[in-house]
Amino acid sequence: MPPQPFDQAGVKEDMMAVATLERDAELMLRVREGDTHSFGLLLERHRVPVIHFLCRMVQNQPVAEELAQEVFLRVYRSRANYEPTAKFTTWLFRIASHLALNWIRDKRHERGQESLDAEVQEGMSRQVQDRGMSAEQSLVRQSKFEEIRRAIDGLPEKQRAAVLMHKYDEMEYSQIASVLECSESAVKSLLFRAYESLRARLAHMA
Amino acid sequence: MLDHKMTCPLQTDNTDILLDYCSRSLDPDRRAMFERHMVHCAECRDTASAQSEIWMAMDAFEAEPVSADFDQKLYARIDRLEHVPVWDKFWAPVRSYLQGQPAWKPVLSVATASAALAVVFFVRTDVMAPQLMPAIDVQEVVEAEKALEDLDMLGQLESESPQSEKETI
Ligand SMILES: [Zn+2]
Repeated sequence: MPPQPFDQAGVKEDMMAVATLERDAELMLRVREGDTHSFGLLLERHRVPVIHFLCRMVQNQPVAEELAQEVFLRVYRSRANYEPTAKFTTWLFRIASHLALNWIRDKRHERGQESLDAEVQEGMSRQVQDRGMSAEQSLVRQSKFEEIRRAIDGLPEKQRAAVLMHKYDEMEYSQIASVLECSESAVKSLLFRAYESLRARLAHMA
Repeated sequence: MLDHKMTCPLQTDNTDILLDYCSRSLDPDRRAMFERHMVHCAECRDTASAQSEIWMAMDAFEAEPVSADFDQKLYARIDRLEHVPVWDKFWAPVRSYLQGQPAWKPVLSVATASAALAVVFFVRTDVMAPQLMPAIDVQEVVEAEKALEDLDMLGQLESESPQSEKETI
């Protein structure tokens, strides 16, 4: 077998990823020691991905922000006993997933799927805004957004969580598995089935 | 090794090859091999084409910008949390334990209410200055319990074996 070319860019990316991981753990350890500035830095790094994940999960911006508040509050509350043995983002997304899955199940139980969908639409109505586009472009964008939103909303909750972490957070299969508390092979199969459903639901868009 | 004679990924458990190919995260060697496979596998070719379309279409599902006062709200909640009365911090683990015991549940509400009344009574008899003893807030007790649950979650991550099949999805 010929020698493999040295993947300099790949190594650089890996080193940056390791640095990011160590930085998160280091910041959290400082938070444990009472450094609130480090908590602010962690919040700055992870606020947007967590809120966006929750927003796509529950499909309601105010609810997503409320759940995200709870996620960061829980991280802060747990600081005294934090040990950097697990990936910080895995822990963060595990808390976020638990909260989102519970919220979806509770809402469905309380109000039934029909009214949940109505609430979702209301919560996401500000989502599609005109950003300097023509009326026609805006309409096309809005319709595309709505199609994708509905297709993702139609996935079983766990498939939805896996797809969102895979697509929008670019997480590795192993990390998604850790977040969702299942094996890597289960995640691969879960994702394939989820995308299969999306392909079927959105076939007319292709 | 994956080559043009390989078993089709769609017929095996290697469907991640197809997903990685469409998300452009497949390494160059495997990418080239999968492309060779697709030349004579119509099923993979069609699935990859549809998956690539979906992958790109999903970019339209943009998330909204975060509210400007998000941090402010969070810090206000943290500030309230920092001022949880010492009594609440003591009571939370006890309550958490008792909640795990089904037979105690009916008694628990009565006990909580009685204990709260007792504290209010003692506080009112000048044990502490009123400004140092905020009203008992059940929410604060619940929040202290949640912290314990979250640490359990971190603990589970530590002990977890990535290959273990904990759950059927
Ligand atoms: Zn094939």
